[in-house]
Amino acid sequence: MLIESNHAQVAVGPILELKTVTKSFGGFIAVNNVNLALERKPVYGIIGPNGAGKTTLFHLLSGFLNPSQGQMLFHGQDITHLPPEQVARRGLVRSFQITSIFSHLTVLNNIVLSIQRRQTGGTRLFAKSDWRDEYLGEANNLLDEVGIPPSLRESPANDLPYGLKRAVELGISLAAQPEVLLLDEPTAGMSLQDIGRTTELIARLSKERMVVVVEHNLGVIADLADEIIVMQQGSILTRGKYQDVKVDPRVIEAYLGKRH
Amino acid sequence: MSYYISLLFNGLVSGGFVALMSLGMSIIFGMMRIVNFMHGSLYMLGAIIAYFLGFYFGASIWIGMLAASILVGVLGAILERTLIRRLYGLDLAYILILTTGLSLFLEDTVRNFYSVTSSAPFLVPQVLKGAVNLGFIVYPKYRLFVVVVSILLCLGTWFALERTRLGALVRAASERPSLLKCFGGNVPLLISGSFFFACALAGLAGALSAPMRNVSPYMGQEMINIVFAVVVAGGMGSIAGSVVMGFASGILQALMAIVYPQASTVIIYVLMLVILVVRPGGIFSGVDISQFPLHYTPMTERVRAFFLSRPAAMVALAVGFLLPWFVYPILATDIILWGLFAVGFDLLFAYAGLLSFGQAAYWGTAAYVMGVLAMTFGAPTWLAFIAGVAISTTLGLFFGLILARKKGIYFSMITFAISAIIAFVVNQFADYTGGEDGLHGLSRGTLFGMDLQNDRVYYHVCMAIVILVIFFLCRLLKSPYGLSLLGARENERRMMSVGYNVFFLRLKAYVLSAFIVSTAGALYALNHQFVTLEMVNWRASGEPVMMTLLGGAGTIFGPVLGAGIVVVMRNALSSITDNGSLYLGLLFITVILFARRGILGESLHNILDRQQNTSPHNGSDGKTAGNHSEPVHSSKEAADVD
Amino acid sequence: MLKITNLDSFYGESHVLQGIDLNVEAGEVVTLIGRNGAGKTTTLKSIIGDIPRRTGSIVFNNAEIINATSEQICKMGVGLVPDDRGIFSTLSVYENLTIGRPVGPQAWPLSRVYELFPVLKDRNAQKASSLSGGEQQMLAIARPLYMGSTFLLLDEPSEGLAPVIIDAIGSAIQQIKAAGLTVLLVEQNLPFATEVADRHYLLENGRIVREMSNSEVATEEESLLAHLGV
Repeated sequence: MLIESNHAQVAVGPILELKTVTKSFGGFIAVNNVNLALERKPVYGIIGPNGAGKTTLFHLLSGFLNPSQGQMLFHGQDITHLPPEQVARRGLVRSFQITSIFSHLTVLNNIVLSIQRRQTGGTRLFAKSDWRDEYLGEANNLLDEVGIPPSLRESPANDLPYGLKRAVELGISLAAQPEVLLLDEPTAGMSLQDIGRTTELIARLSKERMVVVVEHNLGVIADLADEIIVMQQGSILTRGKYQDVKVDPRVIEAYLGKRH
Repeated sequence: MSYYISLLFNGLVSGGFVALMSLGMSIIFGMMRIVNFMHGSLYMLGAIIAYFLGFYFGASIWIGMLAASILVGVLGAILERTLIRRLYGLDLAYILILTTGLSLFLEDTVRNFYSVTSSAPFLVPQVLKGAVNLGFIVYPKYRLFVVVVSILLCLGTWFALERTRLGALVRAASERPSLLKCFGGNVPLLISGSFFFACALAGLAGALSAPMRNVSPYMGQEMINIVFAVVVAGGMGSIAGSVVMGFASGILQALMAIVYPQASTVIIYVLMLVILVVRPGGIFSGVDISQFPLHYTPMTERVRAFFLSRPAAMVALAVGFLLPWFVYPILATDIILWGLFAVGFDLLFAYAGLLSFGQAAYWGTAAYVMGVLAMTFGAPTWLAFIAGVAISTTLGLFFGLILARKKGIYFSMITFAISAIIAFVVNQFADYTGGEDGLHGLSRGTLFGMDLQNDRVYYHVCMAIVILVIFFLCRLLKSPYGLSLLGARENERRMMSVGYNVFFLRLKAYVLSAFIVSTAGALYALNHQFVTLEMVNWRASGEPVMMTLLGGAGTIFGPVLGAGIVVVMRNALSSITDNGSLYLGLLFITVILFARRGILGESLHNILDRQQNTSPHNGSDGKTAGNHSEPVHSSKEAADVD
Repeated sequence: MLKITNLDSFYGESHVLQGIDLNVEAGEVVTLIGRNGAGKTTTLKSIIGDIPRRTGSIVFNNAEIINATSEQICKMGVGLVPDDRGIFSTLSVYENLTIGRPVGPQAWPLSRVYELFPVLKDRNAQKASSLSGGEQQMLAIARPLYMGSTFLLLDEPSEGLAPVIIDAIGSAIQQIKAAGLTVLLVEQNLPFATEVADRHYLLENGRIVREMSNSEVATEEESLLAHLGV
């Protein structure tokens, strides 16, 4: 992969680095003085109770929110105040917790949008009538991977059942072929089967890129994540391997509960 | 000194009317998320009722105010229950068209029965006659009365909403209607009650104004424009914002009347524009509507593919060539040019998801620039035409830089303000533009040896241009950019998250729309060989909205069909009846209520979509399913900050 | 007290509940457990009448309420504590608490509500949106008590709360039970569920697949957790 080889040479020091990042809404501090350096690791998992600031952290990283304080570096370059599209173009792409797809477009067009942006920018005003064909092969491969049957690919994305909409959500982010993939609860509301398949898919993806995943499903986290970051009330409580985090008394207190 | 104080008081008087109206608009918007465009007509009805009671029955202002508020309130509540309620949860545009239709209907009906244009001083009782000495100023008692009544009503409403149990129920009902039901609240009654109250305020404001303002069936039109601007600038749905801005607008107008009298009407639009650019949510924080989703029913890709196909184009071409054999060529030219105007509008509306109330800015600017160049500077027509379109499109680029960052109703309001400012400028340079008289005697000239003065020849030239534009538009909509534009309409955040610059996507669409509309406008002026203020009037911006929804948004040819129906109906109706707008109003109401996709859209939907719609399923998670029979308050959906 | 037979509920075209049968006796605390999307919230919404299309039978205190409106059902003594706590954010704490009018002799006077949740008294003039998550949950539970509901529908009261707060909510539920109220609870947090409830129904794909006792839930916790995906 082109993007991959480019960045492999640059990768000295942490890929993603947050320095004293804080975000407050009025009086409410959603993310509180977060310092975090992520090296190249296959998968980071972020866990924490609702309201711990996980999604806000993703909004900050992807440029949808500006931090009230602090600095964010991607390969040592400042991305703190970049708009979302610039962050995405540099290779940091996120998915959304609340399914965010193009409801009235066909499933294929959902994916084509993401592919054409990466390949040609998607702003050509005039093109041959078969311009879409050059992206269809890649789009179909991707849809195979996320598990959307061919029969549904020309239907409006809105007509899919919930689990497959989550798959489209994931597919759009993947089609951008990011260097770092931020996944916000990718398995929320999926059936056991879908969860299994999605977990495998994420594991496969993580061979080529860094994945940061917010999850409530500890089973998924345990399977996937090489390192767990625990958040609570906007701050990072601790980070470490799943086995260590699992028995940390503070984590049990804040998130896991006594019986875990 | 007392001169300035009395001016200030005059400002408070007119500000009082605006505040009462804005207060009602704001309550309705806060409660039901709808913009009530018939609010101006309700104001007019209030004034007419008071006038009528005073003139025929010798009633005083007390009776007039009481009767006007009750009757108008009841009428509003009935319309809410029977018609408006059906559209809750749908895109703003639909309710806007419905209430505009209702307002056309009301105005024309009143004009039929009761056409007066004078004030009603006879309503003023003895107590309120004459002037009163306040120590620092001698001021007419009745005017003072207006100020006191409007301030008391505004304060009283604020108190009732913020400090009483009833107010708490109303706020709860507007925030989460279905939840309030689970605590025994009678939500439909609360909604109808609020609607009644808001409309009653409009009726009362009308009655109050009757003794001092010209009572006429059209008095609501200017009022609604100002009120709309005030409500947006104050912060949509913010009670305090609309009241403060209401009074402020009156005072500002009074001050402008000293400094620069001609600008006293346009100042409020300028103010709104500045406020929206500097502080996008309005002065006070009202309802967060920046994330308002697009509820209007977009065409499915299947339907769109049909309209972009060759057979559809062939049919449209055939109709185009046959048209001048059925109607006068001038009328046929009118149809296709209004159609082109509507197509330009629809590019923004259906494809970019932006509802513009101000496209007449380009329709008129191109015409005026061309007219001025040809008439005053003697430029040849073809050159004036090209320059007109070019300058108007450039203007579109300039405004586009502001507008492409805006969405939803803010976008709509800024386009509206821009067109109001353009209309003002045109009027200000009357030396060049002819002011009220307009520019007459434009010559179409010749093109490649063709005599364009011949109406039939001119029709075919216009036709060729329209075909060319629509052809390129179709190509464009099938291009990568077309898909990206749809993506940005569907889900802006998602587009940004994969790297699209949504601002540029929108900017391009806006400039393109300005270009199409400019072309149509300049050709239209040549068709009639004159340019008038009508072309920059806000009504001219409203026409394409109606034509598009009538024919079918997003169907390419729908807007042209809609234009045909409107133009032909107006023409035919004007020869048999005075009530053209009454019937047009009814037509809009019917279409909005029963054929929301428009004529072309609805028929195609029935043929293509229904039969193939096999597997209707949605997420089965109870927590995410929405209940669309209630006002949908989307800001919650959008707030997924965990 | 509540008897549901063959309840079917629909959201638009989708058939969410498919033949639910369950009953709750007076004074009991019963939970519904199941995965996201299994239909737990929909069951509660069906009981309170917030689902437009529902068929079957729901008998509450010997009255059939399948066709009743939310307003009627609420006035018969059913109180809802929604999953997102259902706070009216533009209202003050006091306005939220008193949004439903007290109906009947069962209604708790304010003093008694404040005794259960003292924090609500201290903050009664504040905007409800300024409360913390736990305080909002207390407010949500207090509302139906003030209204005089005898049957509470609690939708995931422990969700997203710190363990300390969950304990407080749990003990509040026990006090409510001791006061003679009946509770139907939706829970994913199994330890919490077994602590407060008498028995449990397991929901799957809009059907009730099992009724379980506290000890069954405790012994099968591992497999249940895996099933629930938590």
